[in-house]
Amino acid sequence: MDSDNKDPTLEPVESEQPEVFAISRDNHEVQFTRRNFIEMAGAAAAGVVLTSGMSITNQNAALVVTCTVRTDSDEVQVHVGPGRNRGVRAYMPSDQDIPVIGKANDRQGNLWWQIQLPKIEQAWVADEDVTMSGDCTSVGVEATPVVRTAVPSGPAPTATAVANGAAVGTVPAGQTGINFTLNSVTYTLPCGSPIPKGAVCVCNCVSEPAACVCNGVCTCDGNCSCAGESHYWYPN
Amino acid sequence: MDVELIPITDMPNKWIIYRPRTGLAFIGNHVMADLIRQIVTDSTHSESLPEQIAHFLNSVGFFTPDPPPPDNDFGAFRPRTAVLLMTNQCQLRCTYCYAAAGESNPQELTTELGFAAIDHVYQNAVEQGVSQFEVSFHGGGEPTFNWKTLVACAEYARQKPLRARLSLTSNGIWSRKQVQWVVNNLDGLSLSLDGSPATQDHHRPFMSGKGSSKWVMRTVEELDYHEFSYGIRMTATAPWEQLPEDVRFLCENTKCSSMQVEPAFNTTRGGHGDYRDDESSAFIAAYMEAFDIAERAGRFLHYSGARVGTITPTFCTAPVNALIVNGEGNLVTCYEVASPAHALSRISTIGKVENQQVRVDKPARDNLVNLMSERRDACKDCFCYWSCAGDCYARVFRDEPGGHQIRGTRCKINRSLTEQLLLRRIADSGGVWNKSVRSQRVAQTDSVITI
Repeated sequence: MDSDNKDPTLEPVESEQPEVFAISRDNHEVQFTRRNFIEMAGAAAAGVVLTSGMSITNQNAALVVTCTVRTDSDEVQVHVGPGRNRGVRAYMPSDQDIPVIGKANDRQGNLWWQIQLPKIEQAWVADEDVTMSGDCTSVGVEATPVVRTAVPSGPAPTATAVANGAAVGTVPAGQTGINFTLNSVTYTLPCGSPIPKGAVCVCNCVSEPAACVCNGVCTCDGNCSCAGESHYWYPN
Repeated sequence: MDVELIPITDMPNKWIIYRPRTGLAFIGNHVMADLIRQIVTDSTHSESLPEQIAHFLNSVGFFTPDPPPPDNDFGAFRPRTAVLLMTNQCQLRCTYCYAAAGESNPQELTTELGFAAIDHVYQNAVEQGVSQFEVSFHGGGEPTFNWKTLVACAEYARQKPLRARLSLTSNGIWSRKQVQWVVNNLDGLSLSLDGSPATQDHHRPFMSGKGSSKWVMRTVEELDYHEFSYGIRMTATAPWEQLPEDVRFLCENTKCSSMQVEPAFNTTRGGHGDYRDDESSAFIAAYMEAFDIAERAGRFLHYSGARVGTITPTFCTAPVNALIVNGEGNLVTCYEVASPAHALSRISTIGKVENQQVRVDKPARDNLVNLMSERRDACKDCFCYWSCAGDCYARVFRDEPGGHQIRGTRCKINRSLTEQLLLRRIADSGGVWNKSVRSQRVAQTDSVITI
C-alpha cells in the first residue's frame, strides 16, 4: 500500500526503487495502483486493462500474457500472417523480449506467434525462428488474418486488390481498411497492409495525406488519432 | 529518442512518462522518471538496467526508435484545397463572432474568383498525381448567403476530371431545398451549433434577437434523417458549467459523432478577448466533464489545442496548405484574418487573384512561414510540441518581445488538457498507453490507492 500517497497534502516520500502504476478513474477520482513490472508489461502487451472493483473474469489473464519471444538475429522476418508466403512487414528487433499475444498454425501445421510490435497490427513470426520464454501454454489461438495482399505493381489493379470506388479518406460501410491511390485508382486494403511505393496513402479518417504519417505501412486503429482533428480548425 | 517527463498536477511523486512520437505513455514515480532521464541522456545506461525493468521497457516498446519527423518544409506552396470565403454577411449576430459578420458593407466572392481558385488547386492536384482536390466553402459570414455562387462553384468543381471533395462550414439556417442540396452535393459539413436551445439562442441569435436553435435543430433533424455525416463546431463561453450539459444535449439530440469545442473568453464581436487565467481553469474542468459525457455516448469531443496522438508539423493546415480567397480576391492564410482591418492582416495576406490568375506573393508567404517556424521552435521544450505545433498563430502572435506569447493562458489550457487526456488514455489502457495496441480484457488489481 502506498501509504505516503494517501494524503496529497503530505510531502512525497523518497522511494528507493523505480515504480510504475496502473491508473483508473472512479467518477472524477483518480486512483493509482502500484504494479510490478512483469505484470504491467504483460498487461500492456495484450491490452489487458488493470483496474479496480471488477470481478475476476480470468485469474490468469495478467500472467498468461507474459509469454515472450526473442531472437539474436537481425534477419527474422515479421509477416502479416502465419506463413512464409505471407507478406513481410518488418524485421523483428534482435535481443529483445517481444510480447506474444496470439498463436496460429500455418497451412503446413507449423506454429507461428503473433507478437506485439508498435504500429504493426498483424505481426507474426515463425516459432522456429525464435526462442520463447514465460508461460506460453495459455496463449490464445488467434484468427488468421485474411490473405488480401495484392499490392498492385503496375497501373492495373491486381485481381485481389479492392478497388471499390470508395472515396479516398473514407472507409466503406462494414469495412475497416486503408485507402490509397495509385494511378488515380483508389484501393482499400486491410489495416496494416503495406502500400506500394509511390502510392498516396490515406489513413481511414482524413483526406489530407500530409496529416497522417504512413511510413510505408498504414495503421488504422479503431481510434484513429486523426479523427476529426487534423484538418482545418477555424475560429469563433 | 523524444521522451517527456510530466509531473502530474497536484499528485506528488507521480510522473507521466511520455513518448509523443511513438505514442507511448505510462506512469512512474520520480525514481522511475529519473531512471528514464538517465537512459535518454546516456544510452549505455539501458544496458545495466535491472532485469524486470529492462523487460518492462522492452515489452512496452519503450526503446522503439522515433519515426521520422513529419515534413515541415512548407517552402513550396502547391495547395490542393481551395477555401472560398463566400461573404461577410450573415443573418445571425453571434455574441463572439470574430468577423462581426453582417455589420460591414457586403463583400461577396464572385464566381470568377471562385473558379480561378478551383482551377488552381485542381491543376496542382493533377500535377501532383493525386486523385482528388478539395473545395471548402467558409465564412467570414454565412457562406450560404452567397448561395448562387456557392452552387456554381460546386458544379464547376464537379465538372473537373478529378474527384472534387466539397465541404461547407455553416450556421445551418437553411431552407429545406438547401438542406436537400447539401445532402445531395457535399461530402463534408461543419455545423456551428453551441448546444442546448438556451445556449444556442443566447450565443447565436438572429439579427432580430430571436433564437436560432429551432431552425438549426430542424436542419439537424433533416441531416440525421438522410444519415448525412457532419461535424459540430461548438463555441463555449462562460458560465462554463453549461458546457457539459450542452454536449449532453447534442449527444441526445443529434447523431453527430464528432464534435469540436473551442472556448471564447471576454466575448466581443469583431475580435476575441484575451484568455483569462481564472476562466481557463473553469473551461478545463468543464471540458473534461463534457469529454466524458461524449465518450459515454459514443461520441468524440475534441479541442484544437490538445490532440494526444497527433504528430503534426503545423497546428492548422490553413496557413500552409490551403488557397484561401476572400471576397476582395486576396489570398489569406487564416479564416480569422480575412479582413484588411485585422491586426494580423499584413502578415496574413500572401497574394491575390487577378485576371483569373492566382498570384502568390512568395516573400510574404515565406515571411509568415518563417514566423510560424520561429514560434514552433520556441515550443520545443513543451510536451505538446508534436501535437500542438506552436498553436494557432492568430491566437499567439502578439506585439511583444519575440512577437509571440510564450506559455500564455492558452498554453495552460493546451498543456492541462493534454495531460488529462493522456491520463485518460493511460487509464483506459490499464496503465500503459500504446497507440498501436487496443485494450482487450479486464483483470483485477490488488490494492487501490486513492489520491
